Amino acid sequence: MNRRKIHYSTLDSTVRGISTKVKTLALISLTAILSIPIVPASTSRTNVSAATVASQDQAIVHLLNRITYGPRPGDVERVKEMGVNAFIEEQLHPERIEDSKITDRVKQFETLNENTQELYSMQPKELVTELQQAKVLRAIYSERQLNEVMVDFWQNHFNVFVGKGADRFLMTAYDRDTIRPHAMGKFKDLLLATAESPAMLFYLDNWMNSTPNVDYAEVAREVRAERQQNGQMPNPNFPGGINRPVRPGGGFGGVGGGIGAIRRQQQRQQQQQKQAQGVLGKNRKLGINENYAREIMELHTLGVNGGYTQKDVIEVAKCLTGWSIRQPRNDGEFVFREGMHEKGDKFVLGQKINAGGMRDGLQVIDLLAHHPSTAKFISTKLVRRFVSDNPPQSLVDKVAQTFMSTDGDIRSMLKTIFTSQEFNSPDNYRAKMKTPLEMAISAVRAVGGEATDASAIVRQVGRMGMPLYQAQPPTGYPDVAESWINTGLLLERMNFALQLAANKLPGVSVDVKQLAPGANPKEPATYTDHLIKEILHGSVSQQTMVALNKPMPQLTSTRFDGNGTVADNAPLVKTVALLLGSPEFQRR
Amino acid sequence: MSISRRFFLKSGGIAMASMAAAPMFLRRAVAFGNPDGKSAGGKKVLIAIFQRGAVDGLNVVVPHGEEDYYKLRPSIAVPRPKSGEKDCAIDLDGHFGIHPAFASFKPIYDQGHLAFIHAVGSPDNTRSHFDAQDYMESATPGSKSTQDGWLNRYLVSNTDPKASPFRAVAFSQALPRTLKGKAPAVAMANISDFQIRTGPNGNGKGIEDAFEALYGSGNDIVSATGRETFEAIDMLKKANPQQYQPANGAQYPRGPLGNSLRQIAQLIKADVGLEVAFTDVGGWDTHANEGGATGQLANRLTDFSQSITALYQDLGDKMENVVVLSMSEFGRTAAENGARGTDHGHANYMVVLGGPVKGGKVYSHWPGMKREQLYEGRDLAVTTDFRDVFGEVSMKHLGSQNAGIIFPGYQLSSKNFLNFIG
Repeated sequence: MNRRKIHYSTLDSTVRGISTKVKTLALISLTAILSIPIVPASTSRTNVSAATVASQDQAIVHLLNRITYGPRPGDVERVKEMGVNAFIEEQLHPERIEDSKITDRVKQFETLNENTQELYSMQPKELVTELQQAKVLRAIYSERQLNEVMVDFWQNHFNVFVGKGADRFLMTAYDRDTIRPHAMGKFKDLLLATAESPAMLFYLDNWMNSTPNVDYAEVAREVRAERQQNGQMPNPNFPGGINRPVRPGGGFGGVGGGIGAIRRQQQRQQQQQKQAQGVLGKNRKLGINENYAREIMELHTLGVNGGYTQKDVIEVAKCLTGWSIRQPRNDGEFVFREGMHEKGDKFVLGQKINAGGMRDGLQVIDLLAHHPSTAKFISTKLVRRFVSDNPPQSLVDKVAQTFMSTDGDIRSMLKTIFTSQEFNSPDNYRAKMKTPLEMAISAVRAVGGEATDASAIVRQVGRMGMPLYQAQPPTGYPDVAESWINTGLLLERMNFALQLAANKLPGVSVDVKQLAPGANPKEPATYTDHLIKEILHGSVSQQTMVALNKPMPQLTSTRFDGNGTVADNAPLVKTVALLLGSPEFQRR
Repeated sequence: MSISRRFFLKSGGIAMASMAAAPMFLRRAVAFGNPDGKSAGGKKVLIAIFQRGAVDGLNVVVPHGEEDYYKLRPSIAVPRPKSGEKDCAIDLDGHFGIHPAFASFKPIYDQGHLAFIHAVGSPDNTRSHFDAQDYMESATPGSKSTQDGWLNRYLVSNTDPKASPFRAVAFSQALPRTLKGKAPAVAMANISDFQIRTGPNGNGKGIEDAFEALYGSGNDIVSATGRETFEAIDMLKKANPQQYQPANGAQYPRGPLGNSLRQIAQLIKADVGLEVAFTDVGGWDTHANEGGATGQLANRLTDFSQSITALYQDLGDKMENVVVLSMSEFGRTAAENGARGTDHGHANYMVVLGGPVKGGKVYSHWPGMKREQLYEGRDLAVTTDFRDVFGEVSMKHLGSQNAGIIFPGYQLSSKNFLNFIG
């Protein structure tokens, strides 16, 4: 018992302050003498968890790990100077943070500022590439870190898969106009924005959610008006689907009498139906489509156990009939089609809804956005993101209260989390596994990497299992450890660490020498501790320490870009690679 | 000295037993060489091949006995079998024939190791590639929020504590939907990628050892997985992928599918514990100029059938425990369109081969192709739910006992099985 205590306290002192070489050696030999397992079971997550009182530095590192994409060199000192609370306040108000550097930087991606109609004439691959690169560059370099974290959070919560049909053209606007403006605002605004977004309407099929009793004359009237407004041509870039533009006025005139009139009327109806169906999708039988109605409750608001029934799903679907896209293959604009809307009373969660037209759907969204189940569900997910895979109920309750009392104010909920005791509990330090995106971005930030081209990072994030904007199911990418840890994905993480440290990621330059000024590669003791502090911020398991202190491999034959030969830099490169690829660095 | 994993391997099972802290995977590795353990050579294997883009099953397994087939496809139908002629269907049973590009399958069919399934598909009527693939991979048609794929749920349903890290492998850049889920599964484009990559001149051994030491002793899940990673790397090294020579004169076509199947054969022969392999192949979305006995589709089918035939030859006796199963998200319209192609339809075909398959037969509750027999008046109707095929393979071939886990919300019943597994 006693011995264990000694062991822990020695470890703690190693962790808290940064050990000198002497201390480390003493620790290793002590372990050897005691001949107990090298890493005690209770320290499996991190040695820090053995500590009962968090040091100020630890609290700052923890905060940076959770509300940013990880500390850059100098960040800990900066936060220390300005104070933890001031930093939280700053991050909660991204609009007050000067961020022109990254704003200027993403200007090179011209598609990001194009309107959707223009995008339809471009190559989908280019659009996706620019979105991915911008996302990575913003995550690395934006000073509005929390905002970027929240954009990622909501992108997954309201996931849209860029590979589904027209969504390759609609994602740009979804990212820019739907998610970003509302990432720190009111939940109901975000929910409504997604409900009206062509990207979501297409992804979850609500654009063709219609009453089975379509008023084709009405739809045709709307379509004609829209098309006369702006003459549309079929889109050569859309694979498979060609919507022939309808000749305005064709077959819609003609007044007469007798049998000829009836025939003409029949013809007119057929034509209207054909025309409407052309817009609504070739060969589609129109009717209620429940997909979006189900997911808006199950995944976006109430949660799967949020107290709704299959009947509610159908009723919500009826309320949302007619929420559609003008021409999904040519012009991704939201449109409400009266002719597709299901009229009459609907009952959702015990409440009668018959406001008429588009207001039926608006009323449903309002109902869902303020429901206590929604407060609970959103709070749980936020706490899972920022605190632990097993969200502490006490904190979830507090955040849900904030949701209810602030009309779903995202900023206020975040503040409740960051200032809570649970957030700062040492048990939660390094308790979260980094997603592949978080791992890659935090690594580049940790070594002060300079990315002129983010495509290699994008590719590697994909190889680590998280191709950006390409989560297929509406759940988005998972936010729990078990999803990201398997042999193949872990290997990719190590390979990423190695490539980055060795300056072999195309378009990304890293100067390991800068990380350890004054280091003498021939004397690892001069920089190992320094790098541990710089990259892992003071806490390192013993297996990592042992691995770091193993004799250097002779990497003499490979040259590295710009920074001299491996012979010079190999020990530094190796140390940085191992630290970024260590079990500790996979957690935040 | 630090005690290495290799030391344990050398000192065998007794040393292992005394080492409570030994990683799971070590114990598995030891068990592989143990006569009491599951013999890797006898392991049941499933190779699933997804034909993405909706292959035109009606031109693959041709209902040449249907008059309507020829009426509906005046320019692209595969001609009726004629003895001595090449550019026509190869008869199977007087009603169905196969596309001439499938010629290499015919001997395997005749040997009784290859069968076709027809009019199989999804109860959902979506004609969107994305949705239909999604539904087929999750095996929950109509339900979008299913997070995991059916093959991963199979792995979960048949937990194997001795599972190797290569129990489930996808030859693709990213893990496909089919294999996403709780059970570990590995995606790789090439076996040779599965290592610490140090570049052409790098001396990788030093850095690899250092990484290995990093994960050497921690009790947390990351460290344990890290140890499995290095075990896996070693396993592949022993399989020596660079030196691979296909057996029995098998020649894999040079293409992504041939490349994937060759590597799957390598893994099977190397006894790395492979149970479920997945790969996919595209190029089937033939809206225009599809061709008939020759042409666009024919070329794709040649690559497809010859790749699989090469695998069959290469594996030889090992096919005894292997089942290859193809799938595609939906079929194509019964009638050809104005561009001499076909549009998105409904029911489709599948090919299934291997030792456990009762071959030499087309399994189908054939719905017919008269207008009133067609689904929505235009597509081949689905008479076999694809989940009954997946279910039969999971239960009867792979030996899962728990269909409920694999097919949530679907009452799987052996009554609905086609019984193509012997």
